[in-house]
Amino acid sequence: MRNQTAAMTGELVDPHGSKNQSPFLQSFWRQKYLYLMVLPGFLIVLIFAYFPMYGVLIAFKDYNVAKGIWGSEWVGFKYFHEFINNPIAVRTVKNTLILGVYSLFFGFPAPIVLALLLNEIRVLAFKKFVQTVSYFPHFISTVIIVGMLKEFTSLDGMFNTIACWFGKEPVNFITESQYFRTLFVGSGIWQGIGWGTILYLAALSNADPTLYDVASMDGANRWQKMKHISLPAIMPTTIILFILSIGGILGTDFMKVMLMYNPGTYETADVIGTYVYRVGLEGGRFEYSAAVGLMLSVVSFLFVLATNRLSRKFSETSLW
Amino acid sequence: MGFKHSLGSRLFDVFNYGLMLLLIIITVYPLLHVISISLSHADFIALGQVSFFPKGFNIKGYQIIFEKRLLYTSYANTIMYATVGTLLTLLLTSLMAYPLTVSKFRIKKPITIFLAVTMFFSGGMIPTYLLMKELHLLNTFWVMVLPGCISAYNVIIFRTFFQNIPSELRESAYMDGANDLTVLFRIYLPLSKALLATFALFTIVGHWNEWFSALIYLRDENRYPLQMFLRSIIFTQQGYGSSEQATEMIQNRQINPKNIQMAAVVITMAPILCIYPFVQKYFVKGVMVGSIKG
Amino acid sequence: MKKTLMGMLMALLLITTYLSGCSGESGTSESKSEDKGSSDKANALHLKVVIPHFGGDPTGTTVQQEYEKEIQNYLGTEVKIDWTRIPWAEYTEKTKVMLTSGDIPDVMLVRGQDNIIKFGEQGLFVDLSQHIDKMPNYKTYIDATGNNEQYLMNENKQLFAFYDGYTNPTDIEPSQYAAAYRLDVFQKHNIKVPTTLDELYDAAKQLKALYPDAYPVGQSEQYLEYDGILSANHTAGNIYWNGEKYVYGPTEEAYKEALIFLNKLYKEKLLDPAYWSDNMDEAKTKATSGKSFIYPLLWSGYVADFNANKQAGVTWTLAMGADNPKYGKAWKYGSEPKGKGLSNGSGLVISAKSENVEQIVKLLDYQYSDKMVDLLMWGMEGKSYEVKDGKKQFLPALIQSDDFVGELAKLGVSASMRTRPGIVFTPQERIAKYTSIPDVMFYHDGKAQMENYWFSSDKYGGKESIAPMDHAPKMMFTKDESDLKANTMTPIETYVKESAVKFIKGEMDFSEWGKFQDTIKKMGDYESILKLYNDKVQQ
Repeated sequence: MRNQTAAMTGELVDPHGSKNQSPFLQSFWRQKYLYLMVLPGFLIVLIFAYFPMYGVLIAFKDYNVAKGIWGSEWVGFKYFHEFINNPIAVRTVKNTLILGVYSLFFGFPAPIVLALLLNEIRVLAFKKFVQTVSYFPHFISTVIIVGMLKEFTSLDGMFNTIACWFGKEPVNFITESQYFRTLFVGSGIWQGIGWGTILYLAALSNADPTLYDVASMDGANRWQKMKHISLPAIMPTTIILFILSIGGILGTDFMKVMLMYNPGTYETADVIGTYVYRVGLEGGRFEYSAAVGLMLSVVSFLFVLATNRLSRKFSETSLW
Repeated sequence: MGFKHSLGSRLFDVFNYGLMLLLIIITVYPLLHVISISLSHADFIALGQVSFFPKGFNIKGYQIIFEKRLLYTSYANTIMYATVGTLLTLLLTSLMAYPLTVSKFRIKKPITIFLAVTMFFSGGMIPTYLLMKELHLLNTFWVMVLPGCISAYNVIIFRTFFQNIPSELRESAYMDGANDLTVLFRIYLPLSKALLATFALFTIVGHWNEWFSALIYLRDENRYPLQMFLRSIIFTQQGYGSSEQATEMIQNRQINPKNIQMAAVVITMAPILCIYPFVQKYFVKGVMVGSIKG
Repeated sequence: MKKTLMGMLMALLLITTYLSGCSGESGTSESKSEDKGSSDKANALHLKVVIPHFGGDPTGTTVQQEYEKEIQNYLGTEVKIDWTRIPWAEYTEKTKVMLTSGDIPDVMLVRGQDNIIKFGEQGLFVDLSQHIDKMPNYKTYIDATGNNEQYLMNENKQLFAFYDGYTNPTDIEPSQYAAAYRLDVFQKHNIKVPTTLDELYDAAKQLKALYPDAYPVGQSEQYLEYDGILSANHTAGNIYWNGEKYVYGPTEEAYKEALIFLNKLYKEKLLDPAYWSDNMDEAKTKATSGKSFIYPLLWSGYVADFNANKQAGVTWTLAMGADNPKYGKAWKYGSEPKGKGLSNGSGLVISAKSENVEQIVKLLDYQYSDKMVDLLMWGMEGKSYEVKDGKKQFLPALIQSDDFVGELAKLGVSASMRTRPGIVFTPQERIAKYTSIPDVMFYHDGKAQMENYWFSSDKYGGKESIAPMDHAPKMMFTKDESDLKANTMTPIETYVKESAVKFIKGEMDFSEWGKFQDTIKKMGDYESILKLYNDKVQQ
C-alpha cells in the first residue's frame, strides 16, 4: 500500500522528472523534499555528535593535552585489559546486568500498566488529578529522593514501623545487601512511573473512540476492550521504547548507586560505573573511563541490534 | 452510557480507584515533604521531625533566593532557552522524522542507523568542548540550545507516531497536488497534537533541569540558566556555599541548608506544573480521528 | 503555501549559518577589559585569573582593596586583573574541562598534584624552576618543605606551581577532629566520660540499659578509613606511614583488634547499624534527638552545631579520642604541622602562553611574603586585629560580636575561610585560622569548659597523640605509578571494606582472618605498592 503511494508521490511531485536520468538521480530528484527535510537535522547531528566522535580514540591513547587526541601516544587495549583483569570485574559486570535487567523487567511495564489503568478511569477530573500528582517525584532530584528513601528505610523509619506490625525485627535496610536491588528498582519506579505514562497516554489518544463504542455494542467487556483496542494502540510505541530500553540495560545510573551504596551493600550494589569512579578518584583517569564506556557502548549497541532483529522477525515494528 | 456495569467491572473499578489513591499518597509525599522542609525552622529539620507539614514556619530559604538579582536573569534565560530550544526541537524533529515514514525514501535506513549510533557512541567531554570552542559557541546562547535540539530518541518516537497515521491521507493529498512539506505541516502535524504537546513538555522540562552544559560551556553568570543559579546557592558537601548571606544565616542557625535546597526545588517546579494543564488537554482520546473525519 | 514553507527552511538555514557570526561577537565580551586597557597596555599588567570562591565575594572589601594597592606598589606598575571566581563546589569539574582542552587563563588554581605535574609536563604551565631567583619569598616555603624535590617537582626537577602554603609561628600541632560525647546525659546518669576503649564500652552499655531504643555509638561519615577505634589502636584503614615505613593497615593485628571491638559493640546492639551508611544529615538527626550519645571521631565543628539546636536542648562535648592502653595515647586524625611548608594538593599555575611571566611570578611570589600573608589572613591592624605582647589577635569587639566570622568575612579577612582576598590559595597563617572560630565545649580530666578546639587538641593531646602519618615522608607518584596504585588497590580496598563490615556484623568469623588475609593477597599485589612507597622513602 505504502509502496504504491510513494511511487505515486514521485510522479505527482515531480512532473519534470526525466525518464532518461539514471535511477538514483531520478529518485533523488523525485524525493528532493524528503532530502531537504532531513538535511538540517542531519547537519546538526553530524556536527555536534559525529565531529567530536574521534574522542573515542582516547580509550586507546595516553592522552596528552599538548599533543592533542590525534598526536597522543597509542597504548592499544591497555585500559581494557586493566578493567577486565581486575579481580572484581566479573562481579561488577554481573551486578550491572542484574540491576539493568531488574529495572527493565519491573520498571518498563510499570508505566504501561498505569497508563492502561488511568485509561479506565471514567471520572475525568480524578484521572487528571492522579496523572498530575504522579509526575511530582520526577521533578525532585535523585539526591533528595535517596535522602527520603534512607529516611523510610532507617531503623525508626516507615518501612520498619510497618514491619513491626507483622512482628518483624527492625532492619537497617540500606546497609543490607539483599535489599539493595529492590530498593534501587523500587525507588526508580516511584520516581518514574507517572512521568513514564505520558508517552503511552499520547499513544492512547490515537485510538479511535468509536471503536470502544462499537465494542460495547457487541458486548465486549472492559478487559476485552483493553486487550483489543487500547493495547494495540500503544503497541508500536511500546516495542520501540522496549528496544531502546534494552540498550539502556548496562547504563545504570551510577550516580544514584553512589548515593545509595555503602560497604555493607557493595556485594550487590557495586556496578561498573561505581567501580570505574573509584579507580579514577585519584588522578581522574578519563582514558580508563573512556575505555570502559566504549566497551559498554559496543555491547549495548549489539544488544539493540539483536533485539531489533528479533522484533523485525516477530512484529512489524523495528528501529529500521 | 445507559446500561448497567457488570459486577466484574465494578470490582475492577473499586480495585482501580483504590490503587490510584495509593499512588496519589505515594507520589504526593515527596512534594509535600519538599514544601514542608522549605518552610520549616532549621532546628526541626535537623531533628528530622518534618514530614508532611511545616514545623516552625520559616520562609528565609525563599527570601535568600528571591533577593538575588541573578534569579530573575537566570529565570529569563531558562525561559528563552526552553522556548527557542523547544521550537527548534519540534520543527527539526518533525522534519527529520517524516521522511523516515516514506518507505521508498532511499536513505531511510542509513539515516536511522546514523541517528541510532549517536545514542550509544559519543566523543566525550573533551572533543565536544574543543568543538564548541572552534565554533565559537562557548559562552553563547546557542550552546545551550543547538547541540541538544535533535536527538535520535525523539526522531524515532516521532517516526513511530507518524507511522500510525493512515497513508491514505497522504495519498489523497498528493492527488490534490501537495508536496511532502505541505503534507507534513498541513496533515501530519495537526494530527499529532498529542505528540507535539508531549515532546514540548519533555523538552521544556529538559531545559528546565539543565545545568551540566552550563557548567561546562558557560562562564558568564548572566547567561546561566535557572538550575545553574540554584545549584550555585545550594550548599554542597564541602560545606562552602556561594551565598555570603546564606552562610551567615546558617551560622546564626536561622536557616538549614535544606531550606534553600528545597525552596529551590519548589521554585523550579512551580512553573512547570502551571503549564501542565495546557498540555494535558491534548491527551484526550480520539483527537486524531476527530480531525480525520472533520 | 509552498513558498512560506521554503521560507521557513531558508530561515532555519540562515539561523544555522548566522551562529558563527553571532557567537563571535559574544565571545569578545569576555575580553572586554583587555580592549579597554589597550591604550595603557605598554605599562600596565593585564591578567586573567581563574580561582575558586568560598561563599563570600572579596571584591571591594577593605583587605582586597589594600591588597590591590600593595601589589601595584610592589610591581611598580598598574595591575588590571580580570577575576573569574568559580564556586568551590563546581571548581574541580569546571577547571577539569579547561585543563584537558588546554584552554586556560594566565593564572589559575589547579587542584590535584597529579594534574599539576601531568599538564605541566605537557607544556601547559610555566616551569617555575627557571625563575627561582625571582621568587625569594616562595623559596623559603619550598626550602621549609621536607623532601621538597620529590614532593613538589617532577623527575626533571621542574616546578609547575605555587603550591598551597601554610605558616605557623608557634609550635602547636592540633587536629580539627576529636571524640564527642553527649555531656548532659553522661552527667545526668553519672556516667564517666570515657578515656579508654573499655570505658567507652562500659558507658555505651550503661546508656543502652537506660535508653533501650538508642544505639549509643554512632558514626558521622561513611568511612571505615579513619575511625576513632582504629586511631586508638594506632592503625588505619589504608596505606599509612607508621613512623618507620609504609604499611597497609588492614593486614595488621591492631586492625583486627579494632574490628573485634566493633563486633563486640555491634553484637550487644551498642553500635549503630548505620555506622557505615550514615552521612552528616542523618547523624545530625540522631545526635540531636537522643539516638546516639558517642562519636569516637567527629569533625569538631559539628558539636557547636548540635548544641545550638534550641529545640533539641542537647549538650555535646568534645574530648580527646579514647585510648587503647595497649597502644598508648590515641592518635588524633589529621594534625596540622608546625612551621612553614607547602602541601602539594593544589597550586597556582601560570599559563605557558602568558606574556608577562616575570611580572606574574613576582606578583605570586609576593603573596608568600610575611607582609602579605599577614594582610590577607589577619587584615589590617586596628581594623581587624591588634598586637598584644608581641602576638596578634583579632579585635575583642569583633570576637564578641554576634557573628564573629561574618564580621571577618565582611572585612575580607581570609581567616574567615569564606571571603578570601588575593589570588587564592594564599598561604594560611595558622594562628589566624585557629583563632577565627567561636569556642565550643571541650572535656578533659573531669571537667568540660568552653574552649578553642584547635588549642585544646594540642594542649590535651600532647605530642604523643600526633599520628606518625601526619609526619610521613613527603612523596609524589608518576602517572604510571598512580595508575598502578589505583588499579591494584581499588579492588583490594573494596574487598577490605565490605569484609570489615562482615566481621563487625558477625557474618564473617574472626577464625576466618587468615583466609581474609590470603584473599587480600590474591586480589592484588599490595606489597608491591608498599614497596613502591618505601623505595621512595629510601631515595
